[in-house]
Amino acid sequence: MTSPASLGRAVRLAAWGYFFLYLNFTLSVDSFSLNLLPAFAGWYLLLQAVDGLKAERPQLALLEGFAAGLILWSALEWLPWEGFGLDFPGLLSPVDLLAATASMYFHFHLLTQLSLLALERLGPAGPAFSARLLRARTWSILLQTATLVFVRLSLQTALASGGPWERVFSFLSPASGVLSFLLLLACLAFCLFIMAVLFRMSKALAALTG
Amino acid sequence: MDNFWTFLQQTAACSLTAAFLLILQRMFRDKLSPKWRYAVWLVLLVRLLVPAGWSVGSPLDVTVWFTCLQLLAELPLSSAWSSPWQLLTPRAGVPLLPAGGAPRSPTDWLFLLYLAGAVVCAAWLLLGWARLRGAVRRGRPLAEERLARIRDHAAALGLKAPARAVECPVPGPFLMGVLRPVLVVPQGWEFDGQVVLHELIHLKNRDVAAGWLTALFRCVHWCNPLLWKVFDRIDNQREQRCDQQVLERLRGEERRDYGRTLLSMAEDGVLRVPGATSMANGGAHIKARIEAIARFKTFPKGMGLVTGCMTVVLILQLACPFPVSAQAPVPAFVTQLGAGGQLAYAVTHRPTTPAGALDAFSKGIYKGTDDPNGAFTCVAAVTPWEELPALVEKLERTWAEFESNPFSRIDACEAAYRTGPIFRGLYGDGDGGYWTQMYFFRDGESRSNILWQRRTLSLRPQPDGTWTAEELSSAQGALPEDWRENYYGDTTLPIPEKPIYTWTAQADGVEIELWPDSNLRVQDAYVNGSAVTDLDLNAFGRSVRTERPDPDAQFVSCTGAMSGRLTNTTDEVKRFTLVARQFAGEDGTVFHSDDGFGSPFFSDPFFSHSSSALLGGYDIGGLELELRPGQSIPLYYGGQGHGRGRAGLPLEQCVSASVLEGQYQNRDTGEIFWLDLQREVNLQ
Repeated sequence: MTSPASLGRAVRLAAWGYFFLYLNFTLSVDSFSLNLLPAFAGWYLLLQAVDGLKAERPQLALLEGFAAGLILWSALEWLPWEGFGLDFPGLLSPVDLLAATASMYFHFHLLTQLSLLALERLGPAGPAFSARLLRARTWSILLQTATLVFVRLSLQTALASGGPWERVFSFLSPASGVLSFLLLLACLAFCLFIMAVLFRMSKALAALTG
Repeated sequence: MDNFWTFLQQTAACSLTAAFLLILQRMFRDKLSPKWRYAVWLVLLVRLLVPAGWSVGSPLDVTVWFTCLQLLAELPLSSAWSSPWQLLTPRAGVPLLPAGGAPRSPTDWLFLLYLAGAVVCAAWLLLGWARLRGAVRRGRPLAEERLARIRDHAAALGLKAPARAVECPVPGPFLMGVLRPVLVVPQGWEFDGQVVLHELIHLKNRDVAAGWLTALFRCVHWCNPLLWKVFDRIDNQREQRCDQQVLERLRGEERRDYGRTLLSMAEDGVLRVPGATSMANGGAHIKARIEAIARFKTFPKGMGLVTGCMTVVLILQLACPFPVSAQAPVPAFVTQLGAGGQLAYAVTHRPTTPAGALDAFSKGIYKGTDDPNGAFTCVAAVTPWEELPALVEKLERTWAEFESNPFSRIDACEAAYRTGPIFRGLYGDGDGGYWTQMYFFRDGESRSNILWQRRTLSLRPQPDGTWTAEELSSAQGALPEDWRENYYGDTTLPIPEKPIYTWTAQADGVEIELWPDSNLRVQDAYVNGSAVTDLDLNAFGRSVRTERPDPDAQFVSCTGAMSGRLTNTTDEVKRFTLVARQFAGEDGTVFHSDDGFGSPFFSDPFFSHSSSALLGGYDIGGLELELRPGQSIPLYYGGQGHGRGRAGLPLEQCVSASVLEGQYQNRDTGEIFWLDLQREVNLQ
C-alpha cells in the first residue's frame, strides 16, 4: 500500500499539472511568441502523478502511453513555428484530433481514479472529495467538447463566408466573441476549482500521515 | 455520386475516415468498452451518408486532390458525365443516375461499370436474403410451450420477445426481420437461456436494421476492399457489443458458461446474410470474443458521457455535415503536372479579395511572354468557370504559335510592357463589384520616350466568395515629352487619360472638370527597363517579384490627388474659390442647407453621409484661383499617400469616391454656387 504522503505528493503534482494545462502566459516579440506555462509541462506533471498513484490504482497505468504521446504533441505545438514562417499542422489535423480524444479520456480516467482513491483512503471526508472530483470530471469533458465544437463551428463560419450558407452561420460571427469569452471564463473557473480540490485532497492525505 | 470522380472522392473520404477510426480503436483497445468501440462507427455512418464535398476543412478532406485529379484526367477527354470545369460537389453519398447522355469517355464507362457492380452486389445480397427468408417461411413454428418459455425468459430479463419463433435446418440461432422480427432456431434445438438472451439483446439494439445498413453500403462501395474489411469488423464488433451486454447481465460462473457456449459454436457455419444476426460468426472471431470475455470488466459510470462527447467531436471534425463551397488549395508542386496541374492550382487558389484578383491578373500580364504556363495559372485564377475552356484554347493557340514561329516569341518579349502594375482608382460599379484601370509601362525609342498600356478591368464577386477579373477595354500610347512637368512624384500618373469617374459642372461661366484620382499598389511595381525608372513608381520601395499570386492580397499603398481642368468660358476675369469633398457609398445622403453660407465655406452639420475617410483622391479645401477670359488650366491639387506594407489597407478606404460635392464662390461678388456635378463613367 502506498503511503499517504506519497499519494499526497502525487495528487499535488496533478494539481500543478492542471495549472500548466489550463493557464497560459505568453511572451511575444515581433512575430515570435512563447508560452511560459507550456502545456507539455502540465502533461509531464500529470504523468508523474500517474506514476506516483499507479501502485495504489493500477488502472492508471493505462494512461502512461497517452501521457507520453500528449507530452510530445504539445511540445511540438509549443514551438514557435509561425516565427520561423512555418505552418504547423495546427488545430484540425488528424493527429491533433487523436490527441484531443486521448486528452478527453485521460482527464476522465484520471479524475475517476482519483475519486475512487478519495473514497478508499480519506475516510469520512472521502465521499465529499469523490463527489467534487466526479463533478470536475464531468465539467472537464464538457469544456473540452465545447471548445472543440466552437473551434469547428468558427471554421465553418469562415468557410461559409461569401457562399450560399453564409446566412446559416452568420449568427455565430457576432456571438463568437462572447462565446469565446464565456469559454475562457469557464475554463478558468474549472482550473481554479480542480486545483483547489486537488490541493485540499493532497493536504488531507498528508494529514493522514500525521 | 453521379460520375466517376464523385464516386472516387466519396469512397476515398470514407476510407480515410475508416482508417482513422481503426487507429483510434487501436489506441483505445483496452480502455473503452466494446459498446463504445461499436458506437464510434456512427462517425463512419455519417461520413457514408454525407457527400464528401460538403466537408471542406475537415482534417481528412480529400476534395482538393480529386479536383486536381479530375482536371488532369478530364482535360483531354470529352466525357458526358464529368467535366474538368466543374467543382467536385457530390450531391449524395449514394450513386445517382448520371445526366448527360450516353457514356463517351473511359471515365464514363468506368462509372457505368461501377453502377453495374453495385447492382450485381445488391442482387447477390438480396438473393441470399430471399433464400434464407424462403427457408424460414418453410420452417416449422416453434411449439407453443417452447415459445412461451422464450417469452417468459424475456419478461424475466425485462426485454421484448420476438413476435415469432421457427425451427429451420440452419446451423445456429439467429434473428431475422426488421418490421416483424422472428427468432430462428435449428431443428431440435434445446432451450439455452444465454443464447436467447444474446438474440433478445440484438432485438433490443435493432441490430437487424443495422445489418441492412452495412449491407447497403457494401453495395455502394463494393469495389473498396478496405471498406468491406471495415464492414466485416463492424458486424463482428456488433456481436462483441452484444456479448458485453450479455455479460453485464450474468454473474460469476454464468459468464464462463457463456464463453463455453460460444466456444461450442466455433465450428458452426457462418450465416452472412443481410437482415439476419447470428451468434456464431466464425472460429477466428469467436476466439477473439472469448478473449474479450476473459478480459471482461465493468466500466465506471460516466463512461457514456465521455464516449458520447468523443463521438460528437469526431462526427463534427471528420464528417461535419455542414455544406460549404470553399475550395481547399492544392500544393504548388501540382503546377509541374502540365496544363491540368496549372488549372487545378489556379481554381483552388482563387483570389478572395479584389486586390488578390488584381495581383493575379497583373502577374498574368507580366508573365505572358516568357512564362505562358505561369501566366495561364494567374489568369485562370481570376477567370469565371464558364470561361475557362476558352482560356485553355487560347493557351494552346499561343503555344502553337510560339512553336511554329519561335521569333514571334522574341518579338513579343521585346514588345512586352514589363513595368507595373499601377492601379488607377477602385470605383464601385453599383453592383457589388469594382472597376479599375491597370497601367503598365515600357521603354520607348529613347530615354524620354516612355510607352504606356492601360487595361480597364471589371472585378466581380462570385457566389463562393472569390473574385474574378475581366478586361473591358484597353489602350496604349506614349507619355508626352514634357511629362516631368506635370508629374508630382507618386501622386498621379502623367497620362492624358481620364480616370473611370470624372465629374463636370459649370458655375458662373467657369467649366469645372474634377478627377479624384488615386494610385493603388498590391505590391511594389516591377521595374524592367531603364527609361521607366525615371517614373520612380516605387518611391521609397524596391521592386518585389513573387512567382505566384497572393489570393488574399490587400492593397499596400494608396496615393490620392485631385486633378482636372478649369476653363473660363466668359470674357471677363474670374476670381473664385473652389471647394470639393469626396464621399464613398452610393447610398449616402447629402443635405443641402438653405440658410445661406457663412464662413467657413461649408457649415456643419452640412453633409450627412457615410464616412469620408478615403485614402484616394484629395478634397479641395478652398482653392483660390484667377482665370483670364478663355483661359483653361489643368488642375493638380494636393496629394496624399498611405501605406501599410504587408498588413494592407482597409478596402473601404481604398475605394474611390462615388459622390462629389462642391461649391464655387466668386470672390468679387461673394456669390456662392452649388456645383451641380455630373458624373461620367469612362470604361472605354
